Order: sequence, then C-alpha cells, then structure tokens
Amino acid sequence: MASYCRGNPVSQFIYNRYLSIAIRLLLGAILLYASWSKIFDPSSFAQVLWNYKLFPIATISPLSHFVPWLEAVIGLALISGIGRKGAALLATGLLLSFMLAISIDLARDISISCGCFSSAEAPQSHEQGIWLMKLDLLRDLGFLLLAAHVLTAPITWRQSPSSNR
Amino acid sequence: MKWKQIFAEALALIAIAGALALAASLLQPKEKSAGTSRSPSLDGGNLAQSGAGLKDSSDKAERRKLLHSLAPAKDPTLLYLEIQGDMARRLHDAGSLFIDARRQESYLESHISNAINIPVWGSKADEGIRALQNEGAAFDDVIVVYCSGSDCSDSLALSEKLAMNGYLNLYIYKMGFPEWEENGWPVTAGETP
Repeated sequence: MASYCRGNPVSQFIYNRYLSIAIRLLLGAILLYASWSKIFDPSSFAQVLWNYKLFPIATISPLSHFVPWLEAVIGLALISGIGRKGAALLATGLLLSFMLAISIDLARDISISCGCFSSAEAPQSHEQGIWLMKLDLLRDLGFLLLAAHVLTAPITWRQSPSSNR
Repeated sequence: MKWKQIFAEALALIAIAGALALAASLLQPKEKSAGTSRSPSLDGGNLAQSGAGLKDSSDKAERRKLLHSLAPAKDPTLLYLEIQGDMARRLHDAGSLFIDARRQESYLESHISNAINIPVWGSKADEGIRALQNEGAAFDDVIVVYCSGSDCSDSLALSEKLAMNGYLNLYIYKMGFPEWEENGWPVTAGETP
C-alpha cells in the first residue's frame, strides 16, 4: 500500500500523513457519535429497523443491539488506530449495507427515517422523507470515500518520497 | 498489510461488538412500566378492568360468542385482518380486548379506553404477551391491535408477535388512535386502561 505514495504527486497529496490521520479521526468520531443515542435507546432503533420493511421480525431485536455497538467499536478502533484497517473494512461494509437498504426503500417508494444519527427523528411527509433519503445516500457516499481512504492509506509513512527510490 | 490480517482484525472487532451488545442487552435496565406495559401484564388488574374482562366476568363465554359473531370472518391462513373504524368501534363496545402497540409515553398521554399497552419495541413486549396468556386471554379471543395510524407499522409488528405466540383472531385497526380520537370516541389518559 505504501506504493501509493511513490511518484504521483496527487497520490502523495491524498495519502499525506496528516490528512490521512485527520480523515481517520473524523470517520471514527462520526461513527462513535452515530452509535451514541442508539446504544442507549435500542427500542427506538428497533422501530427504525422495522420501518425499513427489509428484516424479518426475529432479527430486529438482535440487530438493534448489535449494530450500534459495532459502530462504536469501529469508531474507537479508528480513533485509537488499533486495528484501523479492519475497522475501515467494517465501516465500508456497514456503509454499503446502509446505502443498499436506503436504495431498496427508495426504489419501493417507502419513506423512512434512516435512523443514522438518531432514532427519534421527527415525523415527516412522504415527499420530505424521500428527499431526505436521497440526501442520506449522498452523505453515506461521502463517508464511504473516507472509509475507503483509511482502508487504502499506507500504514507507515516514509520520511521523504525521495527515500523510496 | 495483507488482506488476511485485515479480515482477522475485522473479525476481532465484530466479536468485541457482539460481546458488548450481549452484555449491554443483559444489563439493560427494565423499562419502568405504566399502564399495561406494566401489567396488562403483570398485576392482572388492568386486564380485569378492560373491556375484555378476561378474568372475572361470569358472562365471558357469552361475550366471546358475541365478539366472534361481530368480528369479520378471517381466513385462518392470515395472521391478522385489517378493520376500519366502524368495526373497531363495534368490537370495542362489545368488550373486545384492545392492545395499544405504541410507545409508553404516547399511551400515557391518551389511548383508546380500556386498551392495554404492549409497546412492541419495548424490552417487555414478550413479557407483556406472556402475561396476557397468564391472565387468561384465550388464543381464539378477538383482539384488536392499533398504533398511530396508517403510516405506523407497530401494530403489524405486535400482531406478528402475537400470532407467533398462538393468537388466532387478530384484527388491526389500521387508522388507529388518530382517527379514533378525531371521531370523539372514548379515550383515557394515564395508566388506567
């Protein structure tokens, strides 16, 4: 992965050490924040999951407990740097799952509150709900790029690009 | 770093999250219950007061017969049947058991008179259903489940749970509490069913 830093100035900028650390910390903080309210109110999150109309009822309760803790553990791993590659892989998978679930409901014209950061979001009209779901998709795409960056960034940085040669 | 190592890290994180979720779920404080979540369930008093009069009414069999004749015929292969406001009102007047599937806060604010509360996503939903059985709700009793109207799916979720627990005559009042209240039909605030 260190090869990204070689030669190409764009890669050198994208995988700049400080930018990479900032992205990792930002993604970790976002996931930790997203998990917070759900950990303390799994019942509301269960309701959000049920509203997706995608999951069998028997899976709702386990998911409502597990997903928030998974977000929290990924967030902490990213912030601490311990197991950050594995955490980035999980974050990528989690975000892809969220995006898939929202896309399926958009395709079925089902308006839902994504429950991404809070399970107690205000009720909204159908049109508003659909519009917000599209924004959620865009936002998740942004987060997905951050996760992909952490996943592909080098583990260690060399002192100088010239030393690579 | 090799992908094998990345997958190993991911698996370790999943295991940690799973352990934490399990621990949190076991340590989760039980909801302080009100209305029936407490007890439609646990003390039985609410059920006895409710229109169904499941415990002590001597005309229980007669009432059951009346309810079965009033309730629309349901295909036994269906878990539940949706009913409209007029039918819900008729069943209510005849003493059918009404279950409010909304959250406890909404129930306390106002609910259909005589309805008990089993918040479907609360930690005591299963306990509430078990208590319902203990209080003598027969599997063929006519039960009407409602929540906050057509956009609300809590009544569907609770009906599925009830059906999985063996209840056969489940009716969902689809338009739910908003329509009932709008029609000026009997409502009650607080813990009393």
